[in-house]
Amino acid sequence: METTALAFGLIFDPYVLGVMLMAGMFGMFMGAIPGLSATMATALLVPVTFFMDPVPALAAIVSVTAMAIFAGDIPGALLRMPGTPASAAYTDEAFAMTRKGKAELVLGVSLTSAALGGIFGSIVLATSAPLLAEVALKFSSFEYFWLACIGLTCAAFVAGGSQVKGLVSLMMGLFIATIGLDPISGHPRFTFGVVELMGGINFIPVMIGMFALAEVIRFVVSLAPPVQIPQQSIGNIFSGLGSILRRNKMPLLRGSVIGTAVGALPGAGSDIAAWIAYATAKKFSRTPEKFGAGHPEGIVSAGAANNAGLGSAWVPTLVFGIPGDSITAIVIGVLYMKGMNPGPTVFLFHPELIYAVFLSFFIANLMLLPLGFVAIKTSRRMLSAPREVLMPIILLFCIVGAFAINNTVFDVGVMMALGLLAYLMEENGFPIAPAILGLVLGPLLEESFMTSMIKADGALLAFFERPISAGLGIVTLLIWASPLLGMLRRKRAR
Amino acid sequence: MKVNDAVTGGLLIVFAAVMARETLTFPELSGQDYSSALFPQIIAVLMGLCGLALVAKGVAARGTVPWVTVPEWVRSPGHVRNFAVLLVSMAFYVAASDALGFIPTAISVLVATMTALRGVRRIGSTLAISVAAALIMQQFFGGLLRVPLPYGIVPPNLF
Repeated sequence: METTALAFGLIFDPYVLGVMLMAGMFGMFMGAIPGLSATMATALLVPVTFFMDPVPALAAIVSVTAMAIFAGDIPGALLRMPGTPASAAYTDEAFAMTRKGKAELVLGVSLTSAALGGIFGSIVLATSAPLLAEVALKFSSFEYFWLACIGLTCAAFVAGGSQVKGLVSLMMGLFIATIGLDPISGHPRFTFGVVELMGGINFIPVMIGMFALAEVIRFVVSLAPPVQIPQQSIGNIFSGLGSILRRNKMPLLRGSVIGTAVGALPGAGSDIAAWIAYATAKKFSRTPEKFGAGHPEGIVSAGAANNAGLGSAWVPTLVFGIPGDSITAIVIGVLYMKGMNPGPTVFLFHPELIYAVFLSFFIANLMLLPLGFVAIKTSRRMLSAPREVLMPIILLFCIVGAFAINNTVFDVGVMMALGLLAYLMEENGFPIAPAILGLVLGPLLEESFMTSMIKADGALLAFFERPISAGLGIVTLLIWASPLLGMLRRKRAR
Repeated sequence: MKVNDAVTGGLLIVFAAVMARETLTFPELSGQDYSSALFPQIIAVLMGLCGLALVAKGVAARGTVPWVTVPEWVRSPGHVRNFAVLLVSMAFYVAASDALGFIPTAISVLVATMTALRGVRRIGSTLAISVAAALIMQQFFGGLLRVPLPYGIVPPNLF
């Protein structure tokens, strides 16, 4: 009870609420501009949160992502250009509704579904995370090793596209994580005498490069025609909304559940959750033939899923230190920077901070309604923001953000190199999220393995001697073997 | 630039081999079965295997996917210029920000990239926006967040 009161005190501080409001407005703007994603908004926000206390820093990230994920629906509905990848699943559907003259209705549906889905995800986060943390307190380095393995495997397999390319991206991240002094022996690895590399490569310049700079590069070489600003004015977005939500209670609930379940899987973010929720809504619909022609059922389900996934992605992040998606991979880095090492002990040592983060999810999703309303009403003005002015300013922000962490231009160079690499990787179908997860989870994987082996005197079977560790180990091995088993089954079927 | 998977795979194999070779210089941990070379070696092996898989995939698709596909934008001089200006601007910042200071370097980067993207005809507004953005960034990061952005030729007492 005392912890909850403390958490309320921490989050209802005018400074924290002000930070959340500012971050929310920033997130709305970034999400609404096609080509600027929620991950990019988070990446650009991190250098600023570096200088804040833990609660405002984390609340700002929660606020920016919740707003940006919804705001991606605005250009999706008005221009058929998803503002963020999470909106892509139902962009055609939303645009079809706009063409039928129902722009305000589709945006109202998106906004309320996002807020309701987000609140569902927040409830799951606030109830399941403390329970799971109690279980996780029994974990030792053996269990953490397997958890890191599961996290990394999911990251490579679920990221979308070719699994081999996902694995290559993961290996790149793991390789970058090995650069610097080895945590066990203190021997410098892959530093080639460069002093700046001794401390390893900081993940913030990497993340800014891979998520923000890569996007700037994509913009400057883009041959796409300039964005056509919609001419129609937006009327009352809440008119007729009640009946649509009443008719689509089940798709809304199903979308929230799918978003929550998929969001908690490492590597599978809101975008994957939205695709699955949309496909499931169509499968279970009584009128599947209406999908694609401007039918709100899929939008309700997928819109709820992408915001529900945001909250649940924080469950493995806070409880085990295993990020659910690239945004929570960034959050892990922020938690370490703030001395709140993610894992079950954070629930023991800083419960008030964790509960304040839970509260920030509820506040952000409630704040989504007024901010989203304003964003929809001012969408024409936001969409007409000149990107040829914005992108150079974002570039400068990338440079200063990378510099600000260690106050060295070396990190600006790292950001440049990784930004170019990420651009080339995405051009060739290599996903970026596994690399970031590899970079964040690499040290945990290696340290838990080496610590376990020192404890067990090098006996590998020790990974199967504790019951939870053995269970996790078997699950991991089954996941690894699943592609082979699938191949064998297909051969037998032939 | 898009390349056939076989090319990427080949590059990965070379990278993995160089990485594996480097790990041979890592010392053993006394009294331990596993050293600091273990993880990089596993990564190198997996990377090499992925490289082989990509080579096989790329070779199988060589009839339909060319070895190297030059992107459309390379045929547009304006886009090539934009790309070059972006890279040169960043390199310029890395090389010159300590000596010149944040404000002059940041303004140069903004003016160069914005002029490339918006054209020379809007140089007036480009200059105004660049100066304003650089000053706001200096005040926000340097003033409010206390990031020691380099002063260079700008007198420190100006801010």
